[in-house]
Amino acid sequence: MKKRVWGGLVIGLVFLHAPNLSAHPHMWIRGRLIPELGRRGLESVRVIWDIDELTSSYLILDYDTDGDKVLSPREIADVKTGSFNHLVEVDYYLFVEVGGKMVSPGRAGDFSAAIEDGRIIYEFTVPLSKTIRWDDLTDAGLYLFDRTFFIDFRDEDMADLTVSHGTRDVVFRRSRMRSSTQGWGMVEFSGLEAVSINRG
Amino acid sequence: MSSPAVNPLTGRGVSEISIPLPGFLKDLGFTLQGALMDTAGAVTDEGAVGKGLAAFGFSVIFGIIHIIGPGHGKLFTIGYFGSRRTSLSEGLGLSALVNILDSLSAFLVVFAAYGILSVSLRSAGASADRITRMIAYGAVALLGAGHLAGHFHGSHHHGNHENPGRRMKPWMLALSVGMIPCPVSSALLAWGMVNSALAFSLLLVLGVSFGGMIAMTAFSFALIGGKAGLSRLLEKRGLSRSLHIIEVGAMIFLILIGISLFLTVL
Repeated sequence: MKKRVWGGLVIGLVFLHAPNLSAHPHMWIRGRLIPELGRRGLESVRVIWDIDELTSSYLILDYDTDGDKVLSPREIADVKTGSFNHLVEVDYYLFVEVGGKMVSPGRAGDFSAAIEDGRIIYEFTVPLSKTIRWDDLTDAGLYLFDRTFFIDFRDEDMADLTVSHGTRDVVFRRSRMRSSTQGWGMVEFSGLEAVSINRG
Repeated sequence: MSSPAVNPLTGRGVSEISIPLPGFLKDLGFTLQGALMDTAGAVTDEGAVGKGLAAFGFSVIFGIIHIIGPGHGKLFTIGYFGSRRTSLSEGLGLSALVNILDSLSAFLVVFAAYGILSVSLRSAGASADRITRMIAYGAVALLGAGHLAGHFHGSHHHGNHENPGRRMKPWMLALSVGMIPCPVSSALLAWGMVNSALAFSLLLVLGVSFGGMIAMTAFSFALIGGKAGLSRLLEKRGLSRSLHIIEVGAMIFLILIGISLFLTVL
């Protein structure tokens, strides 16, 4: 009986202590998405990343060179060059889908970075390679997700919102998705779905 | 579609072998880090010294959770304790040493990168992580091979005992695994420098190490106890040969893990 208890304990701990190279996620980002509408439909997405304080410390240490806890335009440019531009290769972790088909994001613009309460905040706009037309918009979903699970995108800041363009008001509602990561199990993540378009 | 994991701060790829994590660990890590940073911030920003104790407590719990997650050589520990008879004190020693060393390694990387070389801690940390992993995994594979050779050599010459000269000692495994800088300790030190609170961040690193030691010790004790129980059971039933096969298999497992991890870092 005693041996069974020991055996059970060992097996339990072996499962709990999943062996690996390094723990994931390495960083947490509170993400927020703001769809931007144009004449023909959804043209781009404004993305806001609120990076966890420990990870932000590395960035602040490297880029806030004068240590004043404020990023100057020159320091922001350094952040963009050193820790942002390459993210185009991972589509800025932005998943845009319409009726189950992916829409690839383009190169981000209008980048800014700031330090708030010891955390780094990134803001940038990602144009979509193809405008999601009004008729397709209610089939569209926007999500932040890192399939490698290096980053765990948190949804605390993701909120329902209504975006207007001309006479149209589009209601976006927070929606949750569940997907498998590359080897780290299933995770839930959040984004926005357009649920209705009201024409004035 | 599968794509390699990329460190978003540096754009460099990160090597990995992965395994599903229990869901509660993913959220608990985030919650604990938030609590730790809030209380630590209260100490540095508001001078609320009393909250220092709470921050230390959170760092200990964070250390436990951090170790419960993947990494920190637990797979090696399974192979190591599965391959030999050992005492609880050796398990305690190994756990303590791994956690002290990986925090010390983080301190040295931060000190060298920021204090001496004045280079980017992000980049230096990523490079140090890769290099130490290569050395650590290569060392474990070589030490394991030496241990296995000693095992057979010992069996040949001295009955069913290992050749003590070639035996892989717990401190050897601890030294190999512990040289990989603990990412949490590195980040806490970076936080300490940003907030001009290096001494306080060292206290938090100590807490994380202590928490890590608690979790690793529990893990080691369970393995050692389980192995001892299994040994007694097999010997009582006259299955000593099976025990020998298990021990050799565990060491081969350790060597293979060392080699495969080494290859993933290349």
